[in-house]
Amino acid sequence: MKTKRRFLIKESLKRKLLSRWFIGINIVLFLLIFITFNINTIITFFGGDFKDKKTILITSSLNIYEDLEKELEKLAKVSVIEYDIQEVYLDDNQLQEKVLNDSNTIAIHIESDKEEYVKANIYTKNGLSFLNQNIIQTAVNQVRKDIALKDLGITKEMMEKVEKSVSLNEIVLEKKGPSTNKNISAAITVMIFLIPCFFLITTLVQMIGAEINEEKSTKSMEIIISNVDPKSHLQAKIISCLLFTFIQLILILLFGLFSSFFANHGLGILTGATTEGFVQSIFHDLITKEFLEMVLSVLPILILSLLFTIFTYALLAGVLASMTTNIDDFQQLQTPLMFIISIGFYLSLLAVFFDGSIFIQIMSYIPLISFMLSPTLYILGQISLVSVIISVILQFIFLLLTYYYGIRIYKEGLLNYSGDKLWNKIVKAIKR
Amino acid sequence: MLKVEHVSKKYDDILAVNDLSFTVEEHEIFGLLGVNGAGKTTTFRMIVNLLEKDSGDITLDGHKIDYSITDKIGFLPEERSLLLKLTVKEQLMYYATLKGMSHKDILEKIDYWLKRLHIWELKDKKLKEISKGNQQKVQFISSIINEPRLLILDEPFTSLDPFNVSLLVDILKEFSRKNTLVIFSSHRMEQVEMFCDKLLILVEGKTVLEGKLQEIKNQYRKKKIHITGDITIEDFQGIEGILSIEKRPDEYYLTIADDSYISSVFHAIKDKNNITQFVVENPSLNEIFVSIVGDVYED
Repeated sequence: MKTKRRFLIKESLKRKLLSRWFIGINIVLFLLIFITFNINTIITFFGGDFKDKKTILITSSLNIYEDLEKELEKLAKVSVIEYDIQEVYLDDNQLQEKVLNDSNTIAIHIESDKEEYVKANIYTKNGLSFLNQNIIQTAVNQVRKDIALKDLGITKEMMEKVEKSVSLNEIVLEKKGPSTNKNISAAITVMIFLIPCFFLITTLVQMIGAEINEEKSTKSMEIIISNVDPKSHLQAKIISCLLFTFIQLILILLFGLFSSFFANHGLGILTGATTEGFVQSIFHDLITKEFLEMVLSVLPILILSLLFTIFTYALLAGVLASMTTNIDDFQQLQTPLMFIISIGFYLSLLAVFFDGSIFIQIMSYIPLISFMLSPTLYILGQISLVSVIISVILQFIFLLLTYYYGIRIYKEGLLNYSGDKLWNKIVKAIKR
Repeated sequence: MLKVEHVSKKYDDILAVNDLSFTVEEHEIFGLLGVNGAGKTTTFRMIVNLLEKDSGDITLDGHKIDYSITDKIGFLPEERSLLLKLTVKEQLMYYATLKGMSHKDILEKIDYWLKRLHIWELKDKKLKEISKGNQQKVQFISSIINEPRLLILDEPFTSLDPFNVSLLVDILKEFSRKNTLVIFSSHRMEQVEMFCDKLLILVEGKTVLEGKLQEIKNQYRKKKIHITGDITIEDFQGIEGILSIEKRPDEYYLTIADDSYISSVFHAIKDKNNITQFVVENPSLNEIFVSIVGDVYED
């Protein structure tokens, strides 16, 4: 039987991996990931109005040129815009003439104002882009602020001190867990990293359901089951689909790594684009030393919890698929499973806002959702490590029960071609 | 030998198979007949261990049938059971591997059987691209490729033309000679008559007739008399034992209650003009089947 199970796994994997769909979809996935990681570089590479170097002419009797130049250069540096900033001594007519002769020239005339401290006229040939307008607005605002502070006799240093957050020195007298404010962002980060698991489970459930339904609807199941016992058949389905999903995840990871590497060392250098990509900036913000330390402390439990949950969902998908007669029925029957997993995700989010919620803590012991909820609550300091271990043990017991009763239903369901009295049939199979 | 002893199976309140017993012995081709829903497919599924029986025993050569001996069984289900995305070769490889055959052996057998059934050129075609008759032949090959000890065929001739039916019948006879126990079901009685040695008729899960085909025919009391000559239907009036008369141009088919009435029919028409034929025939299996099943339903 082991040889036959191995054959079924190999055959199922071969059919999936060597299909034209798999190759085609992975090419598309690679391109999409590559584009996402290199989006800034690609946009820069293709160019556009934003790449044209703008000349900014500044005229003012207020002696603010140096401050304004500094602000503009600072803001330009974090965007993709380049400025050539010059101080000029021209009247409005001369400024307009300069602007009319060159569409890339922006002229700024700043004068003092009784009510607003300063006011500015900006001359452009065809109007300002959104980004340029924002940069100039911010820079002029800053300059106005400096003038106003000077006027009031407040130094920059004084202002910085006023604007700085007040240090709250938290003194915890009875520490019950590793909870600090930093853990909230860590908990959210854990959930963000659990999203791929969410997709993994969804894909797995769909795949197992589709395979079993295909064999049932073509009646080839009768031949297969007359040669391989239902237990080995279900095991082969789960293992092959799991392997396929992991291969797909690894491929996506490799596509991501390659794209990221290429963004930093390939296209980035070729195009001269130095700005960090959108995706990379998210990862830099999320993966901090503190986060890694926290995740590593619960990693073994997290992996066990994930494995138990994935196997449980896979088993449930197989059992439900065996009871249905076509893929449409299966889609309906697996919808509650998807809702359950979504509940886990939302409760994990809500746990951040409802500190110490008894309901959420109880839910963290419920198998199928505890893999998300339990580690999140632990990182938030709302439950102890012992609670996490109990939830993992409960998951394991639930997995064993699902396997024990699931096999009975599976065996009964494989040759069930009618949707009538479905729940009765399930109950009957369990009682057998 | 395949031995089915007092097997019963119930689906909720419906008794699908009721205390069924029969044996299939060496070199025997056994026909399991019955109307739709009589319990034939349920019986086959119990034999191949797809369904659990509620009571009774099923053994093959003295061994209980379980997954340790399923490699010795060939099974062709009633409905087409093929993965239509696969090619003919891939499908046969798939099923044959599940029968525990070696790769080399499978390749040799595939070539042999595809050639023998005249579908070798379809080897690399996807199953969904070939005709239903050819799909049936592929399915047939998948059931015999492992040269099984027990071959179970549920409606094996579906979608096949007479030429291909006779091709399959020859193969079945060949297998039977080579020690394969063959058990099959079919609605086509003329096909069953072609090669069946022993049969059993099921009605609502219960055996209503069982025995060797020739013995059943001989023992069946109602006979047919085929008469050709210048006679009219009135000539048969008053003769006892005639159950029905079927008139065709210049000939009559009489059904009589039993063979004791043959002589009275013969004496009544022997002096008529131009009698060229008077033949007493055993009834066809189809007639026996319709008669028995009809009688059971009437009761």
